[in-house]
Amino acid sequence: MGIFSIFGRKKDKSSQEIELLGITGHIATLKCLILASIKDVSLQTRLASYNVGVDQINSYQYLDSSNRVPTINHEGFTVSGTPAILTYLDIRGKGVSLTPRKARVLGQQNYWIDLCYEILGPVTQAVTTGTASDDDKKRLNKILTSLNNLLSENLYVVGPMTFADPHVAAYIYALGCSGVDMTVYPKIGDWITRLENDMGGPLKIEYLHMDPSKLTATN
Amino acid sequence: MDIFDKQAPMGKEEYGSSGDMKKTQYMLQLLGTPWDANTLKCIIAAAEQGMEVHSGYLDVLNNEQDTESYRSIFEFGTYPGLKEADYNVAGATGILAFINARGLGFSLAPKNVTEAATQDFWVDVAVTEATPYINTLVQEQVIKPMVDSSYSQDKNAIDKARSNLEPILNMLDKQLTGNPYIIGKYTFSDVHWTALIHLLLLTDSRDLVEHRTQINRWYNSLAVRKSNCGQDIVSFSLLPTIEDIKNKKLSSVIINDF
Repeated sequence: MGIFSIFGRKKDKSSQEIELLGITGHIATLKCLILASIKDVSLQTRLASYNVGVDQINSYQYLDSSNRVPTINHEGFTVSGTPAILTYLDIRGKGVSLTPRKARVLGQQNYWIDLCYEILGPVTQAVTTGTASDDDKKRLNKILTSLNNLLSENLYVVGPMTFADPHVAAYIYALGCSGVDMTVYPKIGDWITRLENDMGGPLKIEYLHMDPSKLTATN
Repeated sequence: MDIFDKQAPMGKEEYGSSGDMKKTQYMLQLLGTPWDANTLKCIIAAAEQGMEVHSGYLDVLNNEQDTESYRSIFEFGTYPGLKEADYNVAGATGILAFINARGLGFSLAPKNVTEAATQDFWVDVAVTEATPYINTLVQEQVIKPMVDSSYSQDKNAIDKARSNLEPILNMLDKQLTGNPYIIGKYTFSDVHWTALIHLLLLTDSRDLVEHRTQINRWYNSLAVRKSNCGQDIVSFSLLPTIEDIKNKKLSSVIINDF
């Protein structure tokens, strides 16, 4: 079952379905979709056309409320940006919160989220747009190797499933779509499989709509 | 001895050595810079939550974050860095969450779903929208002239940063209208914005703040606000002056309540 096939079918805690406005090919939007699937939240999605650069992968782009993406609307409440939406979906969703209770795990969760914004995001952007330098490729290999090592000890990125998982997974999907050979990082592949089992099936990765002519290998 | 013990030493005293035990049980060591908003956020949060922190200067002007001594702890060189005994974490969001969970006060993260999401929205605006422009102003108007007295400021970069900050600060000013704090109660969003607005006020672009009534009112109220944890400390008082920045001096958080 793909991620989009569940929309409109599963029920969340509240009576009114949550509406998500996102952008096709937008990693920030993908993070919201992954978390919604993990937390079994029903979303009514409206995916806007791919009209912004991939370099804006972590930003909701605009301060003008009509142009913010991703944005959710639910029972009169509207909020934009990945962190806010993930928090909202986590609390509204089923099961225990993805926020760890232990201080040290919390710290590690956010450390990996920070690494997504500071390192994984920029190198993923470079790879997906075909502009990756040798230095970008080295940095990508370094962070994927580190993640692979971590996942040889942990079931999820920092131990239990946390917000770090949808954050990191979105880039892994994007890199996979861009032709990066992920088989050299087998523990990452195992982790994605576990995550997909938790989501009820694999993502339809064609969602990302990457241009194959611009792909570049990173290893 | 690692880089923390070298640059943010704990001192010789041990808890309880004087016969009294402080309420806080943990001793933290922080490495960062006084002109880095992320470092200041960590100091604010520690004071708010009653966590003692020994702060030390990380010489990013000479790329100390890329040295073996730092990278052996944080392999990607991200900072600020925090150490608690055998645990290390880098980056403001990780450190803030750790301090919040370890600390004495009520959580700075709201439990109500709309409050929590609104808080995260304002943190997101601070981090992704305001920070790059405020960093530009701090670098152009404070740090680069400090390092090189003959440095000629990049007027285009300054004008662009100022122009892009205008709508963001307008939004913040509007949000603060009728609210004592950004989302009503004191949360992480206030921690993030306090650090940013403080740094902005240290630049030659302080007029961006000074003519916005609500931001001014909120910022001035923080100057006398007692900490979230109830300890006798005002987090605002630990923020650096321009002289502190020139002297590369970071405040430590010392809790004197027993």
